[in-house]
Amino acid sequence: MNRAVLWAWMGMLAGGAVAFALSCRLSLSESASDADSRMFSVAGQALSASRIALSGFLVEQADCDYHLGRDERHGEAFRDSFFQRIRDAMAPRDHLHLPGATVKEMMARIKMALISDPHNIEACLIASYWLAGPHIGRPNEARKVLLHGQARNPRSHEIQTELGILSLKEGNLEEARRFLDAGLRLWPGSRNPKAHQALLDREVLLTYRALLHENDGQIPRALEAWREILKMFPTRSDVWDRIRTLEDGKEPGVKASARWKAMLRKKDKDCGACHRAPNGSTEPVHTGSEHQHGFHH
Amino acid sequence: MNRALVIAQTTWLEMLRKKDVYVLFILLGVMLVTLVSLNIFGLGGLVVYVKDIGLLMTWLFGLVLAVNISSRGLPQEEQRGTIFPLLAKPITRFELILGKWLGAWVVTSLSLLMFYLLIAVVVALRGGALSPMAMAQGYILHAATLAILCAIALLFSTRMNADATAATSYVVAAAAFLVTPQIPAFLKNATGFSADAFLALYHVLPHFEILDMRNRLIYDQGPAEWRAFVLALAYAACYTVALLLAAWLAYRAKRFSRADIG
Repeated sequence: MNRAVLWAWMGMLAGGAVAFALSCRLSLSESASDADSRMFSVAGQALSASRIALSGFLVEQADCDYHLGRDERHGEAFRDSFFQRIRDAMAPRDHLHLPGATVKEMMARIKMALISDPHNIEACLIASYWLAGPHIGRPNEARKVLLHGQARNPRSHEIQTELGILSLKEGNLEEARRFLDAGLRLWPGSRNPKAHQALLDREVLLTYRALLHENDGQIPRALEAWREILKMFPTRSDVWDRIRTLEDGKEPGVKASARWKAMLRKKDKDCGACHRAPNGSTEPVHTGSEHQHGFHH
Repeated sequence: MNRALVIAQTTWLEMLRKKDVYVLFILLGVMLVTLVSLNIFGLGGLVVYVKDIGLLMTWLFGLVLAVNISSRGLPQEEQRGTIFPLLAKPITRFELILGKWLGAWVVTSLSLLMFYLLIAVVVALRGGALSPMAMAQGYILHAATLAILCAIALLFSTRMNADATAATSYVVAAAAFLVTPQIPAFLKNATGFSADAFLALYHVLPHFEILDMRNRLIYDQGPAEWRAFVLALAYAACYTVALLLAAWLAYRAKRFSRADIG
């Protein structure tokens, strides 16, 4: 290799690495408002855009890790050429997941996604979801990630929700109330308030908040929260039943604390539930869980 | 064959003298050390990302070495005028082509072996492992990929200068890596001439995806079935031979003039 070409390569690599490190450093050391003002510079915007793109790509790579590198190959005009047969033998297509505690392997990508773009709320939620889940079982790390995410994204209701749920899981009801109330105040944030995911986010917040009100004996406030859910989802029969029971002044069949514990158990059980379509299908799989922070396809 | 080996030897000696391979080796080492020093949420023993990024860099460095070494072999001889004493010796043009390709391929394949061993050592130090059989298969198929890349660059270098050869080879390699595996998906919505053109490209461009065993190595899926491995290797061998024959056809009647010496 020509020495000049080699130096050009080295210079390019070194320049790219320094630019990337600098952009990460800037975003880690500045407040959100500083970041907003810095966005007006052309260089800032260019670096920011590339960091966001890289962060999104790394989240996709984490999903790829979770599926043991199996990529989705939908919509091919033909599927049985010589090359495709060998390719499939080299990189199998069957639908598999990282088993048990090995799911920690994908956390490296999520960490890099967060370093690359600390404003990537999806990466923050995925990190906390898996860290707090039964496979990794590190709720303290999940809390650290969420608190760091909250500092970088103070207007995110999603992070407040996760912090509330985590506090509930740890039995810290006072903190859970505080985070869930903050989440309700911040909702819908940057989302369209009529979007389905935004409504689901609000439903989760209201459900946990209503159960906490019930637990505190504040039945009118609990009823208010349940009715808010019905305004968004009028067909929720379990909510109708609960409202009727509470209005009649009776004790619900499932106590508030038992219900949120069941919801948290279900969330843990859903940890690892996959939204990816089975081979050959073009439709994504929905697990039925009302609020997943795993990977969305 | 012996004469081709003598020509290949000059490439090996040149690469020993130059520092390209060492620089890339150190660069890979630094990257791997940086990667393993990252604190990933206090979780220890993570190796998938080290293997993935390490192997990606190995593929990238292999491509750079293969194209850069092969693309300047013949043009350099012509530019320096050393092609005249070379062709005055009892050596055929096919032997010259074969020697240049062999020299470039062996050098890049040995560099590749160093890169693979470095990754295996770093992964082992991190508490992970690479299946030896899968690694051997992955290395052999990767070396076969480099054989094709060296032959592509050599083919272009018979009629272009070194810079044009390198640029064209990179374009072909990028198309083979990024476009070829996607063509069946493109064809889903293509009709008429564009569908025919895509189909022709699908069969003409090299299929590096069938020689890529990174997923098996990264996710510990063990070796590939031998039939598929042998077929992939046979494909790479046939493609390389076809390219070398094309290079010989392009070079055998080429005339040189001392006025062209730069």
